[in-house]
Amino acid sequence: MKFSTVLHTALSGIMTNKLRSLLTISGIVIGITSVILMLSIGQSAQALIISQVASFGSDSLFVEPGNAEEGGPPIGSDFTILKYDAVMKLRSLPTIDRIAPLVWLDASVVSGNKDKRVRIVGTTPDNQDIDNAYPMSGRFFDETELRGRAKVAVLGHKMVDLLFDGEDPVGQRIKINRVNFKIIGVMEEQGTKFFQNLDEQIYIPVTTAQKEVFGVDYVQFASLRAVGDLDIAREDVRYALRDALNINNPDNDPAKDGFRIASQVDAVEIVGVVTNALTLLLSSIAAISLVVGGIGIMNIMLVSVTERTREIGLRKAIGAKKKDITIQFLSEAILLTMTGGVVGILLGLLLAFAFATVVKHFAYSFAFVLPVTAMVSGFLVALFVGLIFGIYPARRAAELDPIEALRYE
Amino acid sequence: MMQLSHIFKDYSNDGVVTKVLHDVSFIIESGEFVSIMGPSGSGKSTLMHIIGFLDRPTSGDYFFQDANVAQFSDDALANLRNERIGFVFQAFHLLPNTTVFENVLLPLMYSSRDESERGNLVNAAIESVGLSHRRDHLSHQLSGGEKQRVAIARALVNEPDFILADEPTGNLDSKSGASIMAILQKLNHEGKTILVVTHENLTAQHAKRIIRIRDGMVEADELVNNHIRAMEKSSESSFQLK
Repeated sequence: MKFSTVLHTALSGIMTNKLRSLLTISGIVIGITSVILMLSIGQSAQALIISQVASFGSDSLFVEPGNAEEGGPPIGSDFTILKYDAVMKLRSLPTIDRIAPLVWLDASVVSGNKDKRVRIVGTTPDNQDIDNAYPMSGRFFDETELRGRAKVAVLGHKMVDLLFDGEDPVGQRIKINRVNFKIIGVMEEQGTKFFQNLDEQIYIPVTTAQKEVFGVDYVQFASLRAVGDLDIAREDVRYALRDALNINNPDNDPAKDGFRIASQVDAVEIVGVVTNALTLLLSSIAAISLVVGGIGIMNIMLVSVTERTREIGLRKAIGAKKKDITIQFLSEAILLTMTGGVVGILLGLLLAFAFATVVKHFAYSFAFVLPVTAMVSGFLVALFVGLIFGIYPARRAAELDPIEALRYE
Repeated sequence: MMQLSHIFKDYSNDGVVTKVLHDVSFIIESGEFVSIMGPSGSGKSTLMHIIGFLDRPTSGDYFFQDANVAQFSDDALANLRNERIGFVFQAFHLLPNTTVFENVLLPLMYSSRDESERGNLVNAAIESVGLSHRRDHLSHQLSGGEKQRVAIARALVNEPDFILADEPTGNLDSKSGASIMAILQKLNHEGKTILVVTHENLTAQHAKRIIRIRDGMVEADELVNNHIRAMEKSSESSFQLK
């Protein structure tokens, strides 16, 4: 039989019972839709996270309190472990050329009659080179101001609008937690970095932040810029910090240091691991739903073979071979699952697009991703399900004895 | 030519062997119109299935145009059914929700005939049973007599030499039945070999020869001297015999 004839016969078989065909493929549609939807959203989320992680330079190292080397919150560890002086000693390492210990907290900021809660970030002048962000007007505070705990502030880009209605704030004064600060500069626009809006914060010297605003002697985090090989720099930092913090770690076990050192590479790896686990989980759920859908297809095909026993008998009597009957019913099953696959792919894309559009309104640069691999594999899986679950009913139809089949009531 | 030589057919069901055909021999020449007659259970349907390549004998030889049918594979038998014979069944066996045209087209889907020929063959077959005006009607919109005429058109479409009809008038009233027999007689007149299996004497009397089967054996094999001519009695006005 010609392909067009096969297609026409299969199509008319399906169209005779439209509602049933529709219900039959719904399992496949749901399965494929969820695969496409989940993988598209997963890819969008992954792209978003990676772009945020990548906003840290590839030559950056981060030091934070915590015991576990591989991610996870610093449970049961001392979050005050990183003392400012100890961290600043890392400056003498030849493999580190910039260092920015950070403390941050939301504080009340008063400017004229405006009173807002704003994130205050205590840092060092090196922060500019590490984040690759510089003042667009005025200047950043310098080493002297850092050492002297000067009460100077540099505004994030959007703070000009929020506190000064767009007027030039350089030289003006603001109060941060009731302490007077002089504004010496405004940063250029930076966007978000690891889900923090850098344009809506105020930079002050870390020393000032500790003594005058927050009253602490530790830092929450330190960004470092490495020179040369990142792994060598990491080891240097580890040993130097142990010395500086008087940590005795004879086993040389990083998990017992009380601090951990991470890089962008680690973060990307973790995102990859999480995404892969998620993909695997979704794929298994999808596989289950597709098996269920496939069993539905097989069930209906078996019913169809029984209902059409006389038709099969007639077709054999007028010259259909076993092969012809097999192809007829198999192509019907495959056409059903492939239709389900295509509908599922389109529906999945539509939902994923709608989801991305909605999320975009709320946050970040969440972009719709066309999951090409998932689309191709979804289509192939649908075809495969039709083949696997269609072959048994088709063979059963082909094996029918034409005489018995013609007599079937 | 069809030659049956010492045909036996047994069915075994759970160890119980039923002898359906017992030493049946006869020859049907091309151009004949033969009725195979017998009461139900006599084995006449089984005989027709063997003649029509739907079944194989337990023993004995069946020669079709001098070739021993036993040597053919299942696929070769399917080709013979498609190209050399046309079946007409008591229950019509038209596909539901399908037009007259598509029903008649069906055998051509399994044939090697050129696609361009198909439309003409189907139209010619439909015309020869007088149903051109019903060409695009769905099969369930037709009367019983019309359905059987579609079935005959379907049997004719691939231009076979033999028409095998199993109780073709069994589901029809006598007028429709007569018109069906008239078509078969016309086809015989045009050179087709016709084989009608029936238990009705009246239907059988339309043939030129009657083979009577009883208990799986040939009881009588006789020529019909004054066979009934169904043509003039044709009642369905839409059908006029040329």
